[in-house]
Amino acid sequence: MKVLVVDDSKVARTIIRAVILDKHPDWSVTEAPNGAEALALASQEPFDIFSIDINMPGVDGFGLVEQLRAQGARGRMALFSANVQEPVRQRAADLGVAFISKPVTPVSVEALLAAVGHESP
Amino acid sequence: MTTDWSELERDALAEAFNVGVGSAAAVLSGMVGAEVMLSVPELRVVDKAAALASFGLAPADRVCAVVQPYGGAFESRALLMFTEVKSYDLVRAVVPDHVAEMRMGDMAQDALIEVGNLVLNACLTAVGELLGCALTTRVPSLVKGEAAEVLEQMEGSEMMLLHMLFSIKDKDIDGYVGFLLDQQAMGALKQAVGNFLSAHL
Repeated sequence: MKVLVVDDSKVARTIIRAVILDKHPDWSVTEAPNGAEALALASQEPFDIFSIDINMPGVDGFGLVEQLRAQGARGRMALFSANVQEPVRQRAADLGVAFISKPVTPVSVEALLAAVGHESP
Repeated sequence: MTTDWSELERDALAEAFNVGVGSAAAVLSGMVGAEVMLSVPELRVVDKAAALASFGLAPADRVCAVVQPYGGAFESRALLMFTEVKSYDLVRAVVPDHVAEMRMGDMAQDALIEVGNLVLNACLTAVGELLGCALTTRVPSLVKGEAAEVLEQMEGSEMMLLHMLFSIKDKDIDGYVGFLLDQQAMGALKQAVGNFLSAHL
């Protein structure tokens, strides 16, 4: 399974990666600090799971979901964000992507994996 | 001379503040019945003397600051500061229209303290939870005056500044969250962040 973690926080990316690899040592986890790098990486290789922060410099998480889909990405996507307002959750639902609340912890990463269909909730 | 923070340490703290601001925005959004648009927060650590320039404020600019004393692992004060003009925009956004027209003067102070209490508590809670240490808050107060005078009244030599731009009902509101810490408290905070990073990375 190939996972792309997109977050402008290196600490958040590192914890997400560590928790995923701890549970699934055979998976590969790639990190991108912003939407532009995520789009470039996704154009070079397919990913099965995308973990995407919403509040990032440049393109935000919602825009990134749309642009990834427009360029043909087929992996399951989840928005992983501190912006926990109801309208934000609703926009995620409208896009058909899971919404996971930060902070990034082992529990919230497991919720992310469950939301994209790879772990028991 | 400010405490030296590594990129990773700043990143961890910025992420904690991000969680705090996000949860405060959710509560604010419930109060105003509309989405609160948030910018990406930017974190800086500066000498208190350099704080005004970092805020983009002149010493004589009129400001309102909600001051929140807190204790626990780090003893100090947090503040949420707006220019006076922006503070009126904020009050108009959070107080119902008919109330704002009738009792703006009476309501403004309470509304500002309420918002400040909300944002600062959310940030302190997020930092405390991230670092695994309890931070307890005390009763907040509102300070008004020229920016230089307001900061001069605060104890602490260094400031950790979070510039947040949020927009409520099409009004852009610049807010500045500041945490004033003396060198001992800043050292204790840095140690706690280091412990967190060692445990998780």
